[in-house]
Amino acid sequence: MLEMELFSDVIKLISDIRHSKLHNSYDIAIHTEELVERLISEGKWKSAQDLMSLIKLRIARFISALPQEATPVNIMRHILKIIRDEYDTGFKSKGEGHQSLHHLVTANINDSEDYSKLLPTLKSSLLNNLAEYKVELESSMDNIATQALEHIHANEIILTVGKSNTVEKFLKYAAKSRKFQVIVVEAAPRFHGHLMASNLAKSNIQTTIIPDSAVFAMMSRVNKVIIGTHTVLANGGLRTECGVHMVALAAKRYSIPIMVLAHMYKLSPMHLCSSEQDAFNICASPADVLPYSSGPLLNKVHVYNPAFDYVPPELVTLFISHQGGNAPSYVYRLLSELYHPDDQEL
Amino acid sequence: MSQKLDKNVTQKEVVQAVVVAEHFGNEFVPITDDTPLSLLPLLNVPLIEYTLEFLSLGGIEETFLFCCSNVDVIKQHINKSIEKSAGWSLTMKVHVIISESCRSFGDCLRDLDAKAFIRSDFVLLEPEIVGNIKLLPIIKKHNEVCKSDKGAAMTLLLQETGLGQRGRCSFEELLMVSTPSNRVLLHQKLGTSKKAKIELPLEILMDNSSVNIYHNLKDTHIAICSPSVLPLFSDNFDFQTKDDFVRGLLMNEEILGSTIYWHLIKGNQYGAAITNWRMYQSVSRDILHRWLYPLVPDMGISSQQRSYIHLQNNIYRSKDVHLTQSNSLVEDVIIGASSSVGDKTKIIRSIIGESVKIGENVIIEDSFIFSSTVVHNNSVIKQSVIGQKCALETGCIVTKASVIGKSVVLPENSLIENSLIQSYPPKSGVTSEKLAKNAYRICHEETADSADEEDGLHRKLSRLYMHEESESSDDESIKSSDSEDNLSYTISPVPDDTNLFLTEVIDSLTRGFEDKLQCDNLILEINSSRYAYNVTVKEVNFNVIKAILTLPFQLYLGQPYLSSLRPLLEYFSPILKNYIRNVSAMVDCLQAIEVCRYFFYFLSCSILGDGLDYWITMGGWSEVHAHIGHLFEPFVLHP
Amino acid sequence: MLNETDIKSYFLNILNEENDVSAGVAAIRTLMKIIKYHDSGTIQGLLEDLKLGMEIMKNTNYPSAAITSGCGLFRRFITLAIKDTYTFAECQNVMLDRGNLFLNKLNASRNKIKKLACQFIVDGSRILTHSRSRVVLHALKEAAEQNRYFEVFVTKSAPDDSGERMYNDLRELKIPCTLIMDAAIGYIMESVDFVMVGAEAVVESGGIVNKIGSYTMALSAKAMNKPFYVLTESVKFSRLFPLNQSDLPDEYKYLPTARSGDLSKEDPLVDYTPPSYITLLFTDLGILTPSAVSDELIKLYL
Repeated sequence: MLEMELFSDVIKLISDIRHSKLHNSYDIAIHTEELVERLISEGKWKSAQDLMSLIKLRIARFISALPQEATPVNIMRHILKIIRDEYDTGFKSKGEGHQSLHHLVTANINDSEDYSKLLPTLKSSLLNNLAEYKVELESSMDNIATQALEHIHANEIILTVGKSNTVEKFLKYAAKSRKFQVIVVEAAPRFHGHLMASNLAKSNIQTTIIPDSAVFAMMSRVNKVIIGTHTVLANGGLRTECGVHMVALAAKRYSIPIMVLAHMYKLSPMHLCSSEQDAFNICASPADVLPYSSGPLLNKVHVYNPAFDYVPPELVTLFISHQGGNAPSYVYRLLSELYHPDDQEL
Repeated sequence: MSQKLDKNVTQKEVVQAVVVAEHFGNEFVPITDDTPLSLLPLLNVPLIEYTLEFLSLGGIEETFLFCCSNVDVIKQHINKSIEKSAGWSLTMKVHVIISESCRSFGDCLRDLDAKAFIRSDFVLLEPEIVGNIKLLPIIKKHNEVCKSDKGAAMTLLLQETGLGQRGRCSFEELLMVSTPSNRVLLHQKLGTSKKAKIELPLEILMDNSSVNIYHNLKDTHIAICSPSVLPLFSDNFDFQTKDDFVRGLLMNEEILGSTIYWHLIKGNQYGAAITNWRMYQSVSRDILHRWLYPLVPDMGISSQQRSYIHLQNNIYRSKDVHLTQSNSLVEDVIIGASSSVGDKTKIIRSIIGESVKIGENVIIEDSFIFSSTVVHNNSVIKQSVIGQKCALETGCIVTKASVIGKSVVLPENSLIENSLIQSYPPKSGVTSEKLAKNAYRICHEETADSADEEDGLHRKLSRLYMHEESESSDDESIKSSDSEDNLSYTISPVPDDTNLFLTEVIDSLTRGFEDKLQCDNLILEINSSRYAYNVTVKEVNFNVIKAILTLPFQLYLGQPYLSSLRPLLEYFSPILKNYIRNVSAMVDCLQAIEVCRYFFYFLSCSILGDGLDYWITMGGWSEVHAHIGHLFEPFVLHP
Repeated sequence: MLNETDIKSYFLNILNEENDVSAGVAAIRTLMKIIKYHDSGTIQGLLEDLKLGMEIMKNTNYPSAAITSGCGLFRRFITLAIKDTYTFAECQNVMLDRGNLFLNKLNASRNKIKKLACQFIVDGSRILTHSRSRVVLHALKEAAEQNRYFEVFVTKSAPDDSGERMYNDLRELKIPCTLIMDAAIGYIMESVDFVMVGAEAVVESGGIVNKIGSYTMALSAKAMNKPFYVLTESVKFSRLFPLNQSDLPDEYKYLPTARSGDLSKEDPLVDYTPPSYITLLFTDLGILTPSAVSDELIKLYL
């Protein structure tokens, strides 16, 4: 009973995600942001430290239930940073800042910050900040789409994999003023590419669908590869839909640039430790690969249907976010701007 | 006007489900002596959690759980789950209904009818269902069917399975005949009858323009029911199980005026009921293979906590398991929290519970070990179930579908095969054998009466797998009748290559003779056919001669054989010269002739002379040729 | 006021008695001692003393790379401390206080590194390491204490066979390990999962200076697509930017006794591994990519 009262909001969020009421990352992001806003405006907290510990408990609960969903955790982490920044500007103190050599060398004993002093204007300034953040989240997809004209030129052939709402918007925006072709890889076994291709075709973009096996054959004709992603890892690598690593290797072979459209809330401070890392990948039902009616074959084989793929940072050329383009080697800098180092190990 | 009102009223109703959580049988003795079947751990999570989580994910908002025995334990468990905010408790309300006097499934439904909780279409589950089906669209479809057919009582949910598959319990083999609109005409469970024939009433075929006959379906024991089902149960006291109900309804269609429909669950949806140990084993295996996604152990069934790490070969390991070697867990294993496994131990296709201590040099295969059990060194456990808090001393061997109940202590070096063991002396009326202070073997007599034979068969079929090999031998015998089943997965029988070759040669020679083609070209054709069908030299010679000898029947009709054969032999003599060049070829030729068994004279025995000698010396005469042997005498060149 | 022999004996004492302390930290402690006993009363005098101290320490037979980077960092620290104070005595106190804080943070750095590195050592890992690194040893010890089973391959690492000492230490911790020849690196690379080494210095480009043989190991790892991880404390960050092997200062590569002779015939003690061969650096500042290292150094010295 106690736990349910304490965490009822995050438990509801977890349950909504499990019941597939929230599908894409954008919806999840907006819901998480609203959850924290409610927590700030209605929750029982006095100092910044209280509020931060409430949020940290929710992060821990979420990670223990759904570790693959990085979006809500990233948003909560970013809000922790906003709280810290607000507190620091409120007291006009230096704050801990980054963990850096500089700080090591110049640290003062009196510098220990534990955010426990009461700041009366904290709530209102936080709510203001969060309202701005919400606007930023809502306009993120449009901001990325407006950069389309810089990257897509006339008569180019673009390759994309599966379905991504961000990529769809990006391509549709460019199609308003440029003429180009799109090749969509169908992305078995879920075949989201079919839906993507039909959506693009409705906007009068010349679209071709190819099976996964034809990627290498078609790659030499492609000018650019533009994909979305599920998560961006701390080393600049990606966790995306299954099958994208293959496409990236083919593109590398022909020296074709790969552009990844990633919202800021997809940047996660996690590293890939090993290929069998717990909670990096999840295997869905084998029914997509081999139906249950296959008879005695099922007794003799193991069937794996992994949902995600890891793409190493060497294969990615550019990350496009609402602030512009960045190289994969710059991701560490973006992370240090988004999240406080103490929150990165949660 | 009233119809619209009705629609508005039904739309405000919550979606309800009824789970009869009571199992009226004794398949799971002695495990079920202590725990109710609903709380039997399936992959270390009580069964009822799977059922409730399935209903909640499927979209149900209110569930009635019917219990007849061990009610307190079940109620306590449900309350604890609600406190821990289990996944299903957030979207679904669970009411536990107690009825101590019910003795069967039918009784429970009659009781429910009396209590009048159900207001509209509801989902009816027999005990111990696991699944991941999205129920709301199916309920909607049932609603539409009900609107068009006022008497529609129930929609059965069935899943396609192939023959020979584990998940298909032979006890539950189902034959169904239905119309194209999915109305059930015949529903028969074949498992218990030993007859090899099935009788289809003629009316089924006469009354309908087209019927579909299905043998590849598995009953998921889930059904969508109209509110009329409960009164039907109340009216007919001989409906004890759901199968009785279905059978009764189909037999008395005109009288009762109700019909039954069925629905195929498609895609990655899965549903199964655990009715006996075999289904328990196959459902465990299916969940380990992730057929039940998103209800998989590593995502936590209802606890929404990750308790296991999913590794290659479908190994699920809890985070604090202590292993001393990396290859102890081979494949399809789940091992619960705080367990430890010793050196040189191998665990294959088994379920290990929490806090289980396994010693060194132990082999565990195809088995289930529940929580807090200790298995000492050098033991072997195969195809068995070990209950909670047991202790198996060193050197125990437990095999062949044995079931060991709670708190049993097996002494050292005991050999248990095909037995049920419990820790306390059984009630009077059941014979038992005492093995040790805490181990009593329950004996069940194998009588020869036909009445018990069905029981015995039932028991045999419901046991855990004995050997995988014996199952595959079953496969072999069923395979011949199975070809129409696996529609898209049958390969048509590969035709005999040599027969094809023979027909091709005959075709070539026929054409050659009719069109007067050159023999060289014909030789070329025959050679290419030979490589195409990968035919050996012996067979080439054999078949060419056979072809030539059967040609007269292709070409001429009415003419005596010899006169038609002569010009053929003359025409094809280059071919003969090409193929019959040495002694072994001559032997082939003679074998072909023997096969053809025609009486004729060899005209050019210069070709055949040596071969004939060889043949005679080899003693290759058959009886028939014993007769004609003398005819060849003049042709045999005596040395 | 300490004289030469005192400084030298203090420094050597620390290294001989406390096995676990790296040369860099020992150097900093020695410099702190110098500050404490300094009595000239001027900052210029103090700086002269510190410079002298650094020269003395570099002339011992301990790895010069670590000493140089530790001293470099401490000198920067002094420079920054001087700005805030007015009298010498005040300055001295501030320096001592901050110095102790600095030392405490450095001592805690090994713990942070081993936690970060531990999550990469999963069950069934096969790890290759080079020579003896205290940080790597700590990380492997932590993983073993968490009941993970993994296997370690250590190179013997001529000319001082320090790999053999590492092997003995691992044996004592009951970690399954194998001692291999330096020449067998290429052979063993295909069967290991990743390479984990320490570093004597981390240069500004993001590359490392480590015991001779590390560059070969990195090249081999890159060829076989195995991750190459470096475990190092942030005190080892140095302001060098070598472009190739000969760019490394001689004092890093050769012992002081050898520096007097003909260097072309001498075997170097260390080599430089460029950043393109390094996958990740585990430091007390977090897990960094090689490109992040230069950022950190720039922020410090700006």
